[in-house]
Amino acid sequence: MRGIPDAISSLSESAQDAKRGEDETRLSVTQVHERHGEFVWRTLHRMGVRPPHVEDVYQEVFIVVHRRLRSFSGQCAITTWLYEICFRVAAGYRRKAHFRREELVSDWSELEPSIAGSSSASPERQLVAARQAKQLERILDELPLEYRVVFVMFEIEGMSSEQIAESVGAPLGTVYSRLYRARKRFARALARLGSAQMENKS
Amino acid sequence: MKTPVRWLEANADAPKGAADLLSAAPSPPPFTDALRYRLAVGVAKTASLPATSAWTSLFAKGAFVAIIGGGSGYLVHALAAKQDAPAPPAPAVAAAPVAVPLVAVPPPVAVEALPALQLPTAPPEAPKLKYDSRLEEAELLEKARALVGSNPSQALRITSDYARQFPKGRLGAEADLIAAQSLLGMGNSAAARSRAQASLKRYPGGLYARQLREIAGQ
Repeated sequence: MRGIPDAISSLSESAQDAKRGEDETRLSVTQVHERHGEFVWRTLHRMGVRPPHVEDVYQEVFIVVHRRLRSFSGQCAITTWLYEICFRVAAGYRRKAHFRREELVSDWSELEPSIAGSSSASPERQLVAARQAKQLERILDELPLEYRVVFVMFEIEGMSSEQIAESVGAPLGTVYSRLYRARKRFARALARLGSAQMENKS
Repeated sequence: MKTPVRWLEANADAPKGAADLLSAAPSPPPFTDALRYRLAVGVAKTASLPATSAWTSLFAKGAFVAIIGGGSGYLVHALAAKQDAPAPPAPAVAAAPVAVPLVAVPPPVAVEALPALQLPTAPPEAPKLKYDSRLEEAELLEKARALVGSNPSQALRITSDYARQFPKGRLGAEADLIAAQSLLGMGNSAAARSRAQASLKRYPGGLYARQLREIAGQ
């Protein structure tokens, strides 16, 4: 999947920064954007913030970063701190987005060709891929945010458990338990979806 | 601990249809330089609140100077072009100035007939930030934070004001931390500890949990 190597390398870079002992407690908000903007951007996508809204939500994250930066003590990686902020802002977004879920993925023209299959694929194939992407989003939206992030990172982005633990600032055991619970809920939602489709056909 | 097998892998025990859905997952739009720059403008605007940062100020001034400079340049160029334009055929005034026919004099040009110059009248408006109550909340807490060292009792009073004004405030954990720090500053470590403990119960995984735990002595 495109973008995964970038995400992983960006994560590794931030980890290397931390290992180098670089003092990230003295960064300005614009420097945080420069160094970790991509991490914030990808995290918001993982949390289900849709492309039309992600720039607004990104700015909301940086309002919080701006207000709290001086209190960041450097006891954890700055990406972990940013992740916490993204989590809270995205949770607020999801509460609002819940009421407009239908419009969120209704316009397939917003989707990139990679989402609706390759642009060279047949129209039927594109339609099927688009429908699958929509179903996937619906199921992911049902997952609690902390489960969703771990599930997306592991199952879709192919990140290692260690990278996920580092990124979300949680112990490895927590990552596994979130993944396990996310899988259970995903499977249940998928089964529900399948039976609903069967009912529609009959 | 053994890493689970991913559902997209061939030997995975994934539920039926899961792999198809996961394969159709959208890629996030790439974080291009253009996007980074566009976002940076908004971030710089945020950074200028409440005090204007040098970066934004320079950017705004630069944009203003560029627009005014560009407009002036265009005006000068337009006027110069008008002067350099080939003059209408001059009447033979040198030979017989007295006999200049009135019709040979170029007719006055009506102002309305001149081409309109599209000069900007004002610099474009900077994008307005959406109202966010967090800014108001944060302003109040900022005042309290600034007083923790010098006047902790006043800082504590402000955190009480905060709780009254924003009973469902989104910076509650931050307010608790400032209150606990203020109580410590006033020498009331028992009250600081109980305040921190109460906050940890309310916000167990909050951003300030570590600092609150230190005060709570956990």
